[in-house]
Amino acid sequence: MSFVDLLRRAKINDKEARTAILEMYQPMLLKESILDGVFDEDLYQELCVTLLQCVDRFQIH
Amino acid sequence: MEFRNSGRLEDQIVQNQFTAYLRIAVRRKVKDVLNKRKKWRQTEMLTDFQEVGPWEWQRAIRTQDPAEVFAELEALKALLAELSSRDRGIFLGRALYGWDFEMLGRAYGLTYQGTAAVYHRVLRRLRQVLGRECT
Repeated sequence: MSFVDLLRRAKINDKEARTAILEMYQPMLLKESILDGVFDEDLYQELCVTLLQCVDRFQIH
Repeated sequence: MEFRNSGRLEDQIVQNQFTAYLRIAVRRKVKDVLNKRKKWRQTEMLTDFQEVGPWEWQRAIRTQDPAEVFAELEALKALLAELSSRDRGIFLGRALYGWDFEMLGRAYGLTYQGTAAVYHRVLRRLRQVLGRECT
């Protein structure tokens, strides 16, 4: 499945597609959640929400 | 599927656009969260550590002359009556119900800092009226 198809499915709340995108970007979110060398779980949860908001708001041209 | 790619195919171009969009949103969110925590440390913790704990008030009340306690309560009532309804609402909301400054700010149309400033101003005035040291 292409990324565009995955994104389109995620935008209509397909649970598997949203999970796949979360897993795809998990390394980035984990990296951004490390503050002063310590993993901040609250921040990581916030960033997961941010990712899903981006999925909803991003316009595919 | 990885989020890094060569960016040659159309699908990869869209993915790279999404990744860039996400990076900006993530950086903003991290900055926002850190700023909120810094504000909390500066205001909420200052409030918590500088105020007299409830156990100390209870001990003070038990060892005080009842007439003195009554006089202080009367002075407190008079002070609260002098305040504007906004200042009274903010002070009592925080002191009695533990509502945070952000929520009180939204209710009264003030910023977080504005609400905290009102609260601390009332608290200082209260300490002056009750004859305790201002901080």
